[in-house]
Amino acid sequence: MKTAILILLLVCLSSKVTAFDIKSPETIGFNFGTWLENYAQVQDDTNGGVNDHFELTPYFGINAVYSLPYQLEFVHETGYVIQRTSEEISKNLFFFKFDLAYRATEWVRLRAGTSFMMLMISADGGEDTLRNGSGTETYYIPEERRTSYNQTLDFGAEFLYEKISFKLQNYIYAFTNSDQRMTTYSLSVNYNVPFEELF
Amino acid sequence: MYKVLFLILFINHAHGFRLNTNIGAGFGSRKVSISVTSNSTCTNAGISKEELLNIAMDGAKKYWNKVATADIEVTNGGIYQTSDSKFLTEKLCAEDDTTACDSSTSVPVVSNIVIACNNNTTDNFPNSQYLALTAPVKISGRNIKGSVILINDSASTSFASLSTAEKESVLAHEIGHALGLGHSNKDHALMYYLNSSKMERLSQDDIDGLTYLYPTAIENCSPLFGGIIDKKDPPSFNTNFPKAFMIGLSVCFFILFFYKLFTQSIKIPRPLDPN
Repeated sequence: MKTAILILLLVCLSSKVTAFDIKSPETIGFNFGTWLENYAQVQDDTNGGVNDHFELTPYFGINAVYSLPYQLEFVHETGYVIQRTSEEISKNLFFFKFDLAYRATEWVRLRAGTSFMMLMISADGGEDTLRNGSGTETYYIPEERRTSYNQTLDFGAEFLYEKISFKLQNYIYAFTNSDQRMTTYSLSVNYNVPFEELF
Repeated sequence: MYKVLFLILFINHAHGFRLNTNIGAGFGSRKVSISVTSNSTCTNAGISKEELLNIAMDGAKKYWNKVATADIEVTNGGIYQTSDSKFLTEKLCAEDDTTACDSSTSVPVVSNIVIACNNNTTDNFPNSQYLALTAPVKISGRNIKGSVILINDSASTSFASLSTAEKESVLAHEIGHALGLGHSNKDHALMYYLNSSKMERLSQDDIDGLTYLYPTAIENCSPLFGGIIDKKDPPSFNTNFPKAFMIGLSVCFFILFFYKLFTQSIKIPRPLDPN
């Protein structure tokens, strides 16, 4: 933990004296879209079917784009997948995303990077009586919040038209572990504003 | 219109997992082994102990070991050497800090997950349709110390008539109970009370339940690589670095963002030119 805090401080200090301090982001983007968690990879019906249908799970985010040489850009994004509540259990997901983007043409931005995911699952506790064999049994509803932290490898493409862009992004969990590897997708519409216009 | 929008936004979010205990107990370690007792002959269940262990491990690998957001791995513990016949005949009793079991009439307390074939039709398997029974046999604080899975080995058991795929999903379901999960009311979940022959993978509900019980801790997770780090091998500088780097960068960006916003939105008046 001490190492983590030390690195955090070092990163803060280093960013203070390098590009971030002397250069404003080129654009600020406001994103709204849908989050397709583990798309087509989990069982979704009793016949072995998977969740390959479109489902709107809204998320929103804000990003900052910094210009780099050679048509490259650095994109930082923070997002929140809107709380999903079902059967008294809530899921919240925050993510912090860092991408290196290549501006292939005026209207296409290809992105690769990584995200830090904070998945929070919580409920208020209680009991539930469910079927068990030919009778019933009492089971328990979670009574606290627990958070799972994960890092993902991300690839995406963004199509820009004036101030609007459409982005398709994937988030690969456990990229190097073929047993655990899972992919989540997001589709979003972004409104991008030049930084000078915003302030 | 608003109702339609609401339905579109919030329809079909399937997560309704339940837990075995009211304290959300799970194994304290991040690797849990499965063993089969050496005295399990499983005559009526029609399966050898080695075959039982292989099918259980196949089920664990196919389902529970695949959850990237959960920090738990089920491993093969081999054959559990015992001559204690209580595994085969006695009732399953869950013991915790407030409830004690009579050790002379209960299945013995174990560490990790132990599977045995049991023929007790009075307490465990009153009905031939009961395929298996699982309970954490020892809970201390918020930690499960050990769980026992009993396979119905009574004369009228239905377990023997199951296909290998069905046995695999039954054992995986029981391993879910052993890890601390209760039943789900989602009919496509592995933790649903009915066994399905078409259970190909975990549902999101199962994944959420396991993630809740075994969340990947920020100081323990192995970012990007998704593997399990043994507690004896604590996270090194390299495993902490990506997390710390991203958190640090993110915090700094936001500080700088609001700093820029603040300094650029407030126009500081220039002093009047004396000339």
